[in-house]
Amino acid sequence: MKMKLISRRIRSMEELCAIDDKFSTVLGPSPVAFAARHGLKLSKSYVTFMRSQKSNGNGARKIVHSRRKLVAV
Amino acid sequence: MSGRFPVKVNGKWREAEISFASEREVKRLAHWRIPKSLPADPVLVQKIYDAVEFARLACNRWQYYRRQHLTVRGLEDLERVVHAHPTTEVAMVLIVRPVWDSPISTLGIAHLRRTWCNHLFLEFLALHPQVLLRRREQVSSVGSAMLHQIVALAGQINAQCIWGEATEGSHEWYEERLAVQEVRDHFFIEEDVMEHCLNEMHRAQQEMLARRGTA
Repeated sequence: MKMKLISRRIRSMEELCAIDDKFSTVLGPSPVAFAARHGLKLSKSYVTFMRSQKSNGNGARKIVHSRRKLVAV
Repeated sequence: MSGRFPVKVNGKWREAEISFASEREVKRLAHWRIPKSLPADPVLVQKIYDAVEFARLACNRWQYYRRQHLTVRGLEDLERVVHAHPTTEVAMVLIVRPVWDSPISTLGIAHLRRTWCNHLFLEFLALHPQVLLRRREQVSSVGSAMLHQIVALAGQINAQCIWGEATEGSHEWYEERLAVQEVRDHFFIEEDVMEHCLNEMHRAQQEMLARRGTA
């Protein structure tokens, strides 16, 4: 699929720098997707970090109440 | 390939250098570490963890290709392989180092694959955790400049297309950065978009050379 260029104006480094500041990080798929795609293992520390992100402050897993069910109208 | 490009460091323009990573340099990527004291911003913490994990995964992936003798460690190497085996798939890691006296030895990395039909697949591009943290030095525009250099590399091997995956967090950046109408979960840098990127890179390098003249 061809991407459509919207402006041919050559921007200055200052302008490009301002764009970069909005996203100066990792570009590409998530490490989980990358590892799964290429059959690689995630590191223990990363798995621990991901687990902590999904847990409550006390380390217990977050509970999603099963009572909240969708009701068909 | 060894190109220099301008980056902004603590508000001043400096120069950084990009080149193909050697085996030793790729192995050192597995030693990127999470900083001892992390910032309060959870989004930034996630980015730092992702960067460290990507560096480790890139190292593993590159070594997988290395075992099959399908890695290149220089432009001449790449040109020679492509000339000898036109449909071969090879992997490479580009590494960015500061040219100034910096406490951060590696600013960023890019993991690429040259596909069988001579396209470049940008698997990912990651900045060093200390660059993301912005404590030791505030370095910016490394991501943009790396993208420029990858486009230049494509030009050097006559690759007609660079493609890659854009995520929920990065698709808008690609739209702005490439000046294109819409990027969804993938991007293709080709034809006029590639030409536009090269023009912007040349402009940036002219500015860098002009600064050298006045310094």
